Amino acid sequence: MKKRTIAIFGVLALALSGCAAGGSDQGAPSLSADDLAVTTPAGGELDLATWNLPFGEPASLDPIKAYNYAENTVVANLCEGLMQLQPDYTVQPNLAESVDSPDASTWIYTIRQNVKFWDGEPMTTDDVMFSLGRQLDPNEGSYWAGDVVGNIASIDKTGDWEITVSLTRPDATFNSYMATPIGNVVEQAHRVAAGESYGTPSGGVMCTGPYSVGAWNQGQSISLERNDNYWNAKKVAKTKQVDISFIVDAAAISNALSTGAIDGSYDVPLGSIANLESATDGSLILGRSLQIIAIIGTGNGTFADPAVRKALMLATDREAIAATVFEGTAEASASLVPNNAWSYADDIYKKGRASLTPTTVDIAAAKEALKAATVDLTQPISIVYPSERSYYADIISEISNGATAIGLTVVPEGVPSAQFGAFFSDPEARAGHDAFVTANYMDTPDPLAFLRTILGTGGGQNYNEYSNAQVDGLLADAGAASDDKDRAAIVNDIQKLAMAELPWIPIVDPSVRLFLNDRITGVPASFVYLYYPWAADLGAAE
Amino acid sequence: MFVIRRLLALAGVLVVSSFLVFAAMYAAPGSPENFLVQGRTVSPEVLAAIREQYSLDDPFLVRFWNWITNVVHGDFGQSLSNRQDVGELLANRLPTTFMLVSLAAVVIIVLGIGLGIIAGTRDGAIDKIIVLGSNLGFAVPTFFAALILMSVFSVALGWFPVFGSGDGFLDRLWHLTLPAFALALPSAAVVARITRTAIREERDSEHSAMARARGVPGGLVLRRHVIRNSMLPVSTIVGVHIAGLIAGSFVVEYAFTLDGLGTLLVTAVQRKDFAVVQAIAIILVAAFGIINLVVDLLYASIDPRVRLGLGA
Repeated sequence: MKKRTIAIFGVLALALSGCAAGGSDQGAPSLSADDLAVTTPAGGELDLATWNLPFGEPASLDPIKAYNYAENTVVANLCEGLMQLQPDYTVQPNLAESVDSPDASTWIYTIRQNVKFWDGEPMTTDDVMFSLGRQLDPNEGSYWAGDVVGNIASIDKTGDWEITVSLTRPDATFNSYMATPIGNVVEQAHRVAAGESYGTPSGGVMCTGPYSVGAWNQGQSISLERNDNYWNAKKVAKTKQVDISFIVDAAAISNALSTGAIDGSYDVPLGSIANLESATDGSLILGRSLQIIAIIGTGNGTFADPAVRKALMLATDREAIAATVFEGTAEASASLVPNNAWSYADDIYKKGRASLTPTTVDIAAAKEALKAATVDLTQPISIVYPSERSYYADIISEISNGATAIGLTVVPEGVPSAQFGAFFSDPEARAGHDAFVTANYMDTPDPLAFLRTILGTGGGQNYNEYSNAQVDGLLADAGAASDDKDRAAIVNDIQKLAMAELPWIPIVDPSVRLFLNDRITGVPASFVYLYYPWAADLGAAE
Repeated sequence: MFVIRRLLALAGVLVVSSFLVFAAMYAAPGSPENFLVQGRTVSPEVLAAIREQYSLDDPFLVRFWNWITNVVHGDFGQSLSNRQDVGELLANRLPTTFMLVSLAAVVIIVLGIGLGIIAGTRDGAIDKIIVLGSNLGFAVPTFFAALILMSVFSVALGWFPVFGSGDGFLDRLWHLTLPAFALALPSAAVVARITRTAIREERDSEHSAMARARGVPGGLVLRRHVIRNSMLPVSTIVGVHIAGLIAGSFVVEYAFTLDGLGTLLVTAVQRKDFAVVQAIAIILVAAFGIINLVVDLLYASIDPRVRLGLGA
């Protein structure tokens, strides 16, 4: 497996260099999921590497407050879960030695012994009980206390080194969430002693990961320092210290990376792609991803009609958006599930995807679909986007072109970021608007977990209050399906319904945009850096 | 007496402006706890616990009153998103913004007034070049100047760092030089123009013509009559521009990734982080008021008539 991924990486490097030589006036060639890298070649020992977080400074290092790019990219190297997401998307036991599941409602974890926190204290079953219990305690205020945590009926210590989690409803995806901060273990005594300052520069955290927190120079950078006593001797970090900066401006990021002032970064901004593709000191690597750009319907206006959404999707040139707005670093979306975003039943998911409508523009089919519409088609459709992010305006203008071709009107509506944030949380903010954009990602590489939030009644990302008994039934069946193949088959049915109902219009699947200076290598290229200790793999290139 | 009256007025302005900012934040859409969880769906119990911890359910006036009484006691409250004392959060940022604005002020005074005097006293090519340059400087937006300066001096020549604000005085100076020039450029251009015009007016005025006619040496006329008199309008415009720098520093801080107040303010506004926004608003208003006060005091030392209260 490893060899194959490295071979893939080689092919990609060739493809990229060919791309740079060919010029880009024609738009980059269409990206295929098979071209995307999973890892980069392993590296050697290194004293210091510098990294950047293009989404800015983490607000907290407390794992239960880490639910976004900036926080998770850092915390992933500090705190570990019972399970661990691997670069190939498999979920492996980590702080748990093994996991046993007699049925999808019961999860039995055997806790690993001889694991030590950074301060040398041994990790006990009580620490694990305490850490999992924090999710359920409203006063701890976990940002992860959503549907998955809400489904936990009880957490019991069923042996000296054994913990059993019982769920209200069966959920076969539960174990994969033990690789996210929901399953992270922190030291109980330290958490209690730190009080309100926990997770801040003064209070800090106490975890078991391959790095601990060094100097945190607020507003500028945070240092990760190698944990030389890491419990997993085979996975001790290769780089002694990693300094992570918080540069958010695209031009500044291009300059810092292309001059070597910063060695590497995930998620380099779209505005930096052209610059970094021609950089002489390193290369831009495109990785397998779990991200998707989509238009979310609010359930209001013309866009509330599924026939209108279907017509708009068919009329929009999503391949052009992938080639121009994303400069060839994204792939047109054929589904609400990003391509290749699964860790099991690959052949079943591939088959399911192949049966969906292709991504090519089809004006005739779009006009046909529009005939089923029952709403007033003369009303303009407003799609809201954060005005600071101009690439959304480019995406919406491409959608608008398609809309014009089938007699609809789409208008972009830019709002300040502060106001845009409210669209995800406040139904009042959404009132009076048809739709809004999203750059979304899957928490775990299980399509079921993602589709459930969008289509399930009361789901966390179900913004148009979609409710369909058939879909809910299938979601429950899939949740109970412990067998991966059975589950994948049911998820394919759900996906079909999702693409007929289209609560969101999927636009493109962006790949991971990883820049590495030639002096470093080793980090995963796939979308696992939010939960996998990527910095521990970072090393010197030979 | 004059100073005390001005300071009291400033305190009044601070209370009113902080009330307005507080009210505006309150009226803005979205609720702080939803920004905290970044739009993720969390259980209502967790949201309720967060509201409780930060007293978000208290009525508007109660919250403002609590806030202002705490400020009087020197407690600026706690940041919602960072869970840190605002004082601690600002202590890291203030030196950067202070030094950036001070450096930019030096650039405005030295470059703006210096070039203005040269252009005002010489005719011909030098004057034309300076006028052209100041037109250009005024027309170039700050963010664009930042990009150009960075790509020439940091990326191509490698003389200055690409990002960050450095540690220690000299390192900071090195890190903040380009940002200060980018920030000062438009203001320096305006100051140069105003200085040039003022100098030319004074040079042609009757009292300097008279002095020259009396045989007072040219250099002395220039220093005592022309430059000193022309500094009255110039000091006003310099003061206004320096005060404006504090508010305008955000663009430069963002472009050069400096850990200043501007970037902190913008993120805090986006997250509805009341305590941080309020504290920075107070600092901005206070700095504006104090700089204006200093300019007025400077007026008095340049023009004795102001001090005597006879009016200009």
